[in-house]
Amino acid sequence: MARLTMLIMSPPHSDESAERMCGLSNRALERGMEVVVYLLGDGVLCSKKGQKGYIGQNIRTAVGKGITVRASAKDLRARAITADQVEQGVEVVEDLEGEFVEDVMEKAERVITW
Amino acid sequence: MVGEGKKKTMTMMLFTGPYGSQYADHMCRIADRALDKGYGVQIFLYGDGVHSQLKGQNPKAFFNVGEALTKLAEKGAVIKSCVRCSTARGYVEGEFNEKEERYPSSKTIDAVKIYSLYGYVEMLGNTDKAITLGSSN
Repeated sequence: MARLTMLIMSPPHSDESAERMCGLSNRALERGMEVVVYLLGDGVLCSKKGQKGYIGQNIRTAVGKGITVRASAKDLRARAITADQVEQGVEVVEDLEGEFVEDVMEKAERVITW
Repeated sequence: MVGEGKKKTMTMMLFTGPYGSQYADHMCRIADRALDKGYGVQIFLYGDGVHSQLKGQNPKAFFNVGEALTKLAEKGAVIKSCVRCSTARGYVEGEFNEKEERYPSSKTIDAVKIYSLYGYVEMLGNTDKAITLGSSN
């Protein structure tokens, strides 16, 4: 199975990056790709529980559909977001940069950054 | 982790300057972890990304991108910036120096070599994966 790895570093509602990421990850999954999404910097705001609209709905359902979503623990702490405020199923990772590097270099066939 | 043999290499192109956003910060953090894991790292600064090469950066509250690039170069990262973008922003002070393989500038840190865009093409020819930062909008 082809693996698509995506890194998002921008917040959910300031521009269209998160929306594009959600749309593309869903389409890739529908076409049989393995999809892994890394949330870094302001990208971790996409994982905050209870958001209204397209991004919140997509993050809530992404994990259930089989998309792996990982958020940087350091960047969540920097934004005072606690683990219980993160959508269920999102993996909170201490060394997100390190895991992203290994994913990109050893596993992913295609990588997209937002 | 990287084992014996040719080192796998990651190439990163940065489009945004330091401090206006966290892209430069993220790039440095990713590059640092890649070097720690034994991968090669190549960085090309493009557009406003060339401002990360400015000497004497002194942010009071933010991660110092200039110092981070210097440390990355000391750990083995190859860092170049676009001459056309650097000229537009007032960094370039003469013709290409063949011996030093860089365009001269007294305003930039030693860790970054101002180079033609072919430098990025050469990086792509010698990389396993390439990513861009700060270019999605």
